[in-house]
Formats: sequence, C-alpha cells, structure tokens
Amino acid sequence: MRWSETGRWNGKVTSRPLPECDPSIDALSDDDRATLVSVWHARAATERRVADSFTLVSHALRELNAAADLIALSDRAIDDEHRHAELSRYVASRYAGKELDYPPLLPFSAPKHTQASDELRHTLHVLGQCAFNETIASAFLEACCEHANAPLAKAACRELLSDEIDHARIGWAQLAASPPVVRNQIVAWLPSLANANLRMWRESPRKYPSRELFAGHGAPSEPVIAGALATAFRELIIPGFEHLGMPTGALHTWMDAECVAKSPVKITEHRLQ
Amino acid sequence: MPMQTKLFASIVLFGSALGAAACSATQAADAGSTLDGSVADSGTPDSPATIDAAGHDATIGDAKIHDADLDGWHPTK
Ligand SMILES: [Fe+2]
Ligand SMILES: [Fe+2]
Repeated sequence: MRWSETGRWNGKVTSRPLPECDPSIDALSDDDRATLVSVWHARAATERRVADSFTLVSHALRELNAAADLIALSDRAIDDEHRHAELSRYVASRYAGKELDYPPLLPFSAPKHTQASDELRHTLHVLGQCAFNETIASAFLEACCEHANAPLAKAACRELLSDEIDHARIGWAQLAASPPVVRNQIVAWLPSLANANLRMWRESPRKYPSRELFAGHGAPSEPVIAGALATAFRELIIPGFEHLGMPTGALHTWMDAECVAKSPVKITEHRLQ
Repeated sequence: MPMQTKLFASIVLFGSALGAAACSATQAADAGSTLDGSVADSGTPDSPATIDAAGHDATIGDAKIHDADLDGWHPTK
C-alpha cells in the first residue's frame, strides 16, 4: 500500500499533523478500545477498496474524453484513498497501542450495467462512485465530525471529509459536462443506483453498539448514520439532479418508500426500453 | 426543495460549475446552459414511478429496472 510523493499533501498522509497525544484514548476501557480498533481497521479496508473503484473511474473518464482536470482529480483520488486507508490503519493502531498491519484486501468488482452501452456504462461508473458513494460518504463524515470529540478521531474524520468532498465533485462535474442526451439516458438508472448505494451503506458491517462514547471517537450511532443517509439523498443527491435539470420523480417515490420501509427496496426486473 | 446546505454548495454547486467550466466549447454548446436547468425541457418527461405494495418492483415509466448487476460492488467507507 503506497501513496505518492506527488499526491495531495506531497507525500504526507494528512494536511495537518495529527494530535500526538489523545488522553481520551487512554481513558477507554480495554473492551471499548478494542471495539474502536475494529471500527477504524474496518474503515482502512473499505477505503482501500475505494482506491480500486477510482481506478475504474479514471479509466471511465478517459474513455469519455473527460476534461483533463477531472481525470487528474480522479487519478489523485486513487492516491487519496490509499492515504485514507493508511490514516485509518494509523488511527486503529493508536487505539490498539501498537502498530497494526493493513487488513486483508476486500474484493472489488465493477458494476456490470449489462443493459447500458459502453459510453453509458462509463458514465454510470463515474456517477455511482462519485455522485452517489462519495456524496453519501461526505454526509456520513459530516455527521462523524459533528459527533466526534476525541481529538485524534475528530481530526481524522475532518481529513477524510475534505477529500471525499473533492471526490464527490467529480461526479457532479462530469454530469454537468455531459450532453443532454446522456443525462436523459441516465434518468432511468437513478433509482437503481440510489437503491444499490443505500443498500451498500446499510449493509456495511458496523459491529459496535450505538453509544455516545463511540460516536465521540468517530463511530456514530445507527440513528445518526440513518440520518446522514437520509440527508445525503434528500439534501444533496436528489436536489443535485434537480439542479442539473434532471427529472427526479422516480427518485422521490423511491425515497418516500424507503422512509416507510426502512429497508432498501428490492427491485427485480430489468427491461430498459 | 429543501434549503441548500453548505455541503450542497460545496459538492453539487461547486462540482457542477467545475464541470461546466471544464467542458470544451463544443461540449458546452451541446450541453446548453448546464446551470440553468435547460435539460429538463429537452424531451424526457418526468416519468411516473411506482413501487409496488410489497416493495419488490420499481417501475419507471414503461421500464422496470433492478440493481442486480450492481452486485459485488461494495465500496462504502
Ligand atoms: Fe476515502
Ligand atoms: Fe473518496
């Protein structure tokens, strides 16, 4: 796992030095400390997987002849995600009180989008990772920052958020740069992208109880996460598509159903006409 | 539409302005005024959407869609 000397912070993992001592970690019980080790270690694994996803996004942007600035930002995002994995591993190590290895690699496979043309598939890959996953990540991390009070965890969440916002922008930028015909094709795919992303976030294993103590160390409670997911869709993603003039009736219907069902809608058949 | 938050401005407004600025002059002409919502008038109606009572099917206009071919993709953070 390596990040580049020419990355966002010239080889440093974070923009600012992280707090070297954090008495709130020392004050934890062994059990609570172990829980937080697993939270941050698991985060290292998913951050690492997102680096693989950005390799796909960079490839897609090149195939789409996207603007050089956007391709460069996506290439940087690969590096950023490696830094995030290292940052998360480091934070886990601080809670563990010893240097931890990286967690095992999580599998990544590109969404197939078999019904889409090559060009549309590339666009969907950019949107799925950036306009959806990274936008959701930003809302999630904003909630983490709000609830975190342990110095190291709060600083780490702030560092992650500052990059994820950039990564989310790639999706909205590419969408704004896409011609109307492409945007129109995307509309029919929005509920499935939304549903899949919500499901991924909900099913992401979080093996810790909802406690204020853990939220203070960057592991928010279930209700806070649910609120962040709702915020992501209601205040960012759906208004984002509306801002770009795209119809969102289906997304609103899906979202309203989600609020009632509280579990992702299982959508079963695929016949785009 | 809910009130626009700082995060919305930072992600969506900034991002879409970045895209509009970054696209070439030709693309810009094709895309129309990307920031004024003109795409809404470009031919695709806001299709009626339904989700059945059991929550198992989503229908967007005449098309049924699913998320099965997203299986295996679990980026999260
Ligand atoms: Fe990340
Ligand atoms: Fe990211």
